[in-house]
Amino acid sequence: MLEKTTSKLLIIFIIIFGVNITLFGHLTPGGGFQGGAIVATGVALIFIVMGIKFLDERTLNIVKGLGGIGIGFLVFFGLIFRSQIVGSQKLFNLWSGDYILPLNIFCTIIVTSGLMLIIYAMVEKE
Amino acid sequence: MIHIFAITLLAIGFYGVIFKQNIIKKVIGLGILANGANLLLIIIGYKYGGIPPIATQSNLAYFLTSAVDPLPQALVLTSIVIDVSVTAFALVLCYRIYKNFKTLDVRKISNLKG
Amino acid sequence: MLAAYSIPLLICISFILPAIKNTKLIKTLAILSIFFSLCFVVYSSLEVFYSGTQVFAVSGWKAPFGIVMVLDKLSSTIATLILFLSLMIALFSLYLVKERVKEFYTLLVLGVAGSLGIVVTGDIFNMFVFTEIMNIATYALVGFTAKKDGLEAAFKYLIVGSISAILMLISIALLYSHLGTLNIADIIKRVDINDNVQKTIFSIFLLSFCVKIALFPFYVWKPDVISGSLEPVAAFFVGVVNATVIYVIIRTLYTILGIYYSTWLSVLAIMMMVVTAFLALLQDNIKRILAYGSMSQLGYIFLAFSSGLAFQGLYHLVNNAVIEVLLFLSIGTMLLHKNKMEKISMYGFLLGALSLTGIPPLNAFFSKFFIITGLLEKKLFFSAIISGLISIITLLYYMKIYFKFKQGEKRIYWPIIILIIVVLLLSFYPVLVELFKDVEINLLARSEYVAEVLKP
Repeated sequence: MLEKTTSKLLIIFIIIFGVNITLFGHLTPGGGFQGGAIVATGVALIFIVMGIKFLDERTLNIVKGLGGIGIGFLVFFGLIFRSQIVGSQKLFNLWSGDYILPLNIFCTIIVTSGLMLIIYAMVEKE
Repeated sequence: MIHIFAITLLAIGFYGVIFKQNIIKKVIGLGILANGANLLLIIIGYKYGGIPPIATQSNLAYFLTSAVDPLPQALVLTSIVIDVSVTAFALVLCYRIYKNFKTLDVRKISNLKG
Repeated sequence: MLAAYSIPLLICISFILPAIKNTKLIKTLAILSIFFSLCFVVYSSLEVFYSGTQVFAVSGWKAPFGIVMVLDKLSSTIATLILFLSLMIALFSLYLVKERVKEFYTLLVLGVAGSLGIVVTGDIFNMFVFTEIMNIATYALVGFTAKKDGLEAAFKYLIVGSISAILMLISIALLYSHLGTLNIADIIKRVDINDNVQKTIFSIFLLSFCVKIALFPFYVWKPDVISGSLEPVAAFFVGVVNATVIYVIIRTLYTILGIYYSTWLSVLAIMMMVVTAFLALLQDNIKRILAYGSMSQLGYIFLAFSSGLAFQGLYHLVNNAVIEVLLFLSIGTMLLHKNKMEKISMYGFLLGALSLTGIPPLNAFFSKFFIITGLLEKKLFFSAIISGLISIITLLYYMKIYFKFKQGEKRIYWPIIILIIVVLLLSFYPVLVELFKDVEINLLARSEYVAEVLKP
């Protein structure tokens, strides 16, 4: 009972911290993989403490597929839609560094779903 | 001179992978080996009396001359990702070997010979 | 450069494939992605042969500061070869893989993406990342059947592959600390062959790849791994992975270091040729004999490259890769016809085996003939005599397999027929000798490689 109350508060902080590390990946240390690993820790905490699978395997595969389609869109059509995707090039701003911010976001989505699939694969069915 | 730490880790890792007979110990040795190689990469980029390579608005003046090299740190990030995947796969493989052979000894699972 | 789009295509398809439930759509998407990558690479290869080396700077960062993808004549030849062979393997596994289709095709597409990335890239750490991608995909593919043989083979390959990858990472770290750059053209500009420390670093780098391809003292793991895996996976291993690793070794020896003659490498190559040929005679399992046979042919290729015979070695590499994939795929029909060999595949196996021993108008006869005459011209008589004698032993162990076959019914498998036609087409040696001599001239021109990549 104690761990459920504590972890409800902690999980929200962990996920927000992970998103912060992802979004500012071009200014402070961090980026796609690190943010994805932290968000995966938060989601794994939901799985371990509360015993429910927050996103089951089919949903995770679809999420990973959407991340793949996002990166494919950026690679093949990124140069055509350059003005909508890339922000201003001012120094030390959130929207600087062309293409790093969208790539970080998609990388976080893919890494979170991938690590959660690994954790689900290691759990033995009763 | 400071590379001696990374070389020690590499030596322990090689000993673990080659000479231990339990397959879980071999996987642990593989992890130590990977960590030794990552440590060697980070040590190479060090500069005596350097600052972390993060540019803020206050240290732009002396940033280029006294920052530590950030390129090996990017290489280490990629290497850690790869090692996580290999370790995850190796552990699942050990679980499957245990279910099939009922033993964790590498001498008893060597059936293909010749 | 159009071939730069093929690697993101393959990797994005491998992310999308696990989410699809319809197996027909999975197979169609996988085979179409490999086919389109082959089309892109063939188009870029024609551009290379008409207008010189193509360089593509990823994200616009120019040569010594960013990652570049370089297609010169050697890269485009080997890229076309490995994509064609993996298309044949993917087509053949349509017949063979009936359950867990989703996992098999995801891993196969990832393996193809990794091996294509090694051949196309011009940056040495990028080569490490793609090597690891190819390694992880093949670790999982080798243990795919999850029975006793497959699991043991996968564990052995995991340990050996990880050790070779860590050795590669150590040598890249020391190389960066000494030379200060990771770009291959920049390394060529800064390397100094008489420096003892740099010789040691490059020998660790070559050691990691010699462990991976099972060169002489480190060959014990390979027959176990090949005999424990499914036949399309064994064909992928012997065709695609071998060709990629030989490409890296040639690139290091010829382009980066400028070494054309190496006594130690020819000694190792002769020992591998002889020892594996004799070991193949003692085996009983069909896949183990084929594995030892492929290692013996690798000895021929390394003997050619370490004596300065570059275009002979390239011709034998291409011939060997195509014939080995044909041999392993025709063995694979035995699983579909209840241990009897299907009729056309048996003739395909006979064609490949006779070609590898050196029967006149077939393709491997010409490549072996060119190697032996090249060795005689350079007055290396001992190597030439040994190469000739091992051909006879090659005939013995291939006939040992052939007489174990029982003939089954007849059924048309398109990949095997296409491979038989390609083997017959490769026997027209005048055109191919001109092509490979062109590639050899490009391979030996180090300063032009540097000038093309580092253009301001």
